[in-house]
Amino acid sequence: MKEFSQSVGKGIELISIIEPKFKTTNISVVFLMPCQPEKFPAWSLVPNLLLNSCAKYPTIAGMSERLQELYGAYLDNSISLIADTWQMRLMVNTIGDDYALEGEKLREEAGSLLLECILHPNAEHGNAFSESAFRTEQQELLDVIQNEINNKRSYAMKQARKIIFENEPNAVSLYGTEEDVLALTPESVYEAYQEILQKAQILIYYVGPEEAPELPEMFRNVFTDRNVPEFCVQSPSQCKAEPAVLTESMQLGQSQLVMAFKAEKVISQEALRMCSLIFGGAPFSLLFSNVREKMSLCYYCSSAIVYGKNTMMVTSGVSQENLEKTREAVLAQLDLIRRGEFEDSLLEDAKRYLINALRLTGDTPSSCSSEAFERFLREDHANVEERIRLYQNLTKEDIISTAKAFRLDSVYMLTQKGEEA
Amino acid sequence: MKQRNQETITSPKGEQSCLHVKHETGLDIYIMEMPDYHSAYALFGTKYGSVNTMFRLDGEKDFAQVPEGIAHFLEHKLFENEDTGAFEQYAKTGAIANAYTSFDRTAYLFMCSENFNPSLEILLNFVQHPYFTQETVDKEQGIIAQEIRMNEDEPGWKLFFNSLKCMYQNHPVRIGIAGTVESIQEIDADLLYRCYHTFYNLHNMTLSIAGNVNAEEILEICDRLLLPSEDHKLEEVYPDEPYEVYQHEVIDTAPVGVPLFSLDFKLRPKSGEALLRAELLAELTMDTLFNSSTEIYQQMLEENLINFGFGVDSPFTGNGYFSVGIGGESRNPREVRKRIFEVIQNAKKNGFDTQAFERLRKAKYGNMIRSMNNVESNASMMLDCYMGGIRPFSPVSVLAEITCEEALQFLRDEIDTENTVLSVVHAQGEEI
Repeated sequence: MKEFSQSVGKGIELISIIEPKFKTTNISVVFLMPCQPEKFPAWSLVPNLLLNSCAKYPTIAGMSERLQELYGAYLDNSISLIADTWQMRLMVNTIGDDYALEGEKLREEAGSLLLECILHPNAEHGNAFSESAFRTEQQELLDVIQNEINNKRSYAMKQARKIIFENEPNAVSLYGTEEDVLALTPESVYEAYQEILQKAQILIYYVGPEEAPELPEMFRNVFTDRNVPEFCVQSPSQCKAEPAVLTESMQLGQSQLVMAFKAEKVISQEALRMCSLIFGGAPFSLLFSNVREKMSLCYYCSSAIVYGKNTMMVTSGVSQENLEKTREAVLAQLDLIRRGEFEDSLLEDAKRYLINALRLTGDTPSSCSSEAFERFLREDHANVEERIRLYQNLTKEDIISTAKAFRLDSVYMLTQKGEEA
Repeated sequence: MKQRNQETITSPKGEQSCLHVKHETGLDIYIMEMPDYHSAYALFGTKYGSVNTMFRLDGEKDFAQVPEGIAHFLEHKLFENEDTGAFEQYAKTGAIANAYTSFDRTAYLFMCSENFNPSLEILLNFVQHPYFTQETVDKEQGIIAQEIRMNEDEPGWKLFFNSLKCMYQNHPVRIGIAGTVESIQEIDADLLYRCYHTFYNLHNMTLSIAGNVNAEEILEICDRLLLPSEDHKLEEVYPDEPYEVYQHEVIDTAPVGVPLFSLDFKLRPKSGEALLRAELLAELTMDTLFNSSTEIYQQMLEENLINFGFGVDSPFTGNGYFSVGIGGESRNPREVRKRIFEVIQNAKKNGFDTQAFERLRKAKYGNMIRSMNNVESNASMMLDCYMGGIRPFSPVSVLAEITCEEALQFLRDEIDTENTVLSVVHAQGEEI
């Protein structure tokens, strides 16, 4: 694997990762903006408006046909928060040129298409997205908001975030509310996009089987007149003096429990991840082996960290009558770590697990660009092997002191209707 | 080097190849060496899923009938043995392990970037050494009951199983994979052992491995750890299943946003290469008629009858069942059904867009190439081919062979608008 970076404009890097074993080409453009929660609804409409049609292919049908011609290439997008930074990723994927049946130059075609979408959107009068495309996407977003209730686990996590990160951008839905979305116009969303183009930190990643000499020229100086503000990917959340508790109810067969713990000091990513893994991130973790396997309380009970927020979230699906018991059992497992009452071998197991997972990086195009992006986000820019060394250096005392730094911040319960806990 | 019953199988254009070994124990082993990769992925699977509820072995007079959900229950229990669980053992190698049960199979798997051989030994050992006691069986019932409840709260799951119950009158595919909270109470250690010894016979199983591995080392481990196995001539029976669906419509409620719907076409079941061909034809035919570049898609989107969730699902197939569905979200699913039927009737009469068909065939080929990029999907492809009774890479060759005329004939002969189920899940109090 070969990786190199080229400047394609003021402050804009094209990072190329050449891996001959891959049979596909991936080009992604990442936009990072400091959080402005009031703009989330407009920003969340932008990626679909950019990728579902463009000036050259102004209908969904036209765009679909084009993608089918490119051997089922796909344009994909995601939006997310990294601590208090908003991220939009626009991506195109197609098979490598060697696999084209009629010698088509798929990489060039795919790159041009992505650029076409970003630079020449389906717009009218130079100041608004196309009215009909806007209406379709607006309705789509309204449906997405209504459908947030469908997946009970993710719905519970979304609701929990409202109390966990009260008064912080992370409490706010990335989509906004239905009212927010209805208040948008083709003009206001276009203006929001112009702000992203002007102010976002932009990174471009190419992952493919061979070098792409045309890409630097294609992307050179396409993003100009820019004024990029500082953004922050570490924004620890303050732990509440007393845990907040919120209970909602719904027509359900199983209740959902979300517990959030916050650290009262800044902890390294490695210590945080390792502590969370020992607590509940793998099948040998305490939550799995004790709360699920020994106590038979649930099918899943696991923990994960919220990047840049010094926060660890536990989620579990349990029957109504076991909610309280599960809550106590989760706290008891964290206490075990705090008191150092876990086998030394558990730390060794966790290290092996994390190192094994880290070394899987590089076997998929998306893991290659994600790893390069993580290096960009980290202050120390540590690569995989350097991160592995950081994990290997962690001691049992590091894990105990990390667990001791965590306090219960919030508890959210989604209970069966008529049977509130 | 040991003489083996083996062959190398290569994809039609030589992009990829794998080794197939018929091991002396009866096990079919597939290995794809991918030396440029860091990772390796192994699947140890048996042709035993939720539909295998009635069976007998050679010499047995009566067919055994077992409780619903037992294949899935067995999967959970196999991770434990007398001394230590499989997860504890994998923790010593760092491998990421899991398992799954579907309608027609159970598979145990792990993925790793180092310690592949010791992880493979763990896999082969724990799957071949069951250990159940009534106590451990009782303990599992609470965990699985929660898994069942979790699935029941998933509206997509409800939509799908409601449809299966209406499509199939007798076939056990209409039963939930994990069974019900009630049916799993009937499972005990003896029943688990009986099912284990019936279906976890190496003649009924496969080992599929892809990634940074060495085939010779794998085969040496297999020689050492695979237990001699006698072919018991497993015989399974399925109740007679009529051609017709049982009920044309099922409407249910759950806490959801936009109503979910699925329009499923029940087709005549097939097997082996004929099924593979039919699966590809069903998918391409329906995609040609309803993909996002079609007029009907545009129209329904503009009228707000559907949203971007609308699309053709991969055909649902197995021993004695075959269906293809179109689904998504709609506030008026009956109107969507009417439009879909109109398009199908029109295409049967007037034919369809051949250019669109060729574009979609090209896109499907692209997806097949894309999946070769990945260690996990290569191992899964080989397992799928074994389970389906076809050779690895056959889908790529069959895709290249099929024609637009054949697809149109398939539409005329097999897609029957009189033999469908519309399944809908909407919020309580909402009009459909």
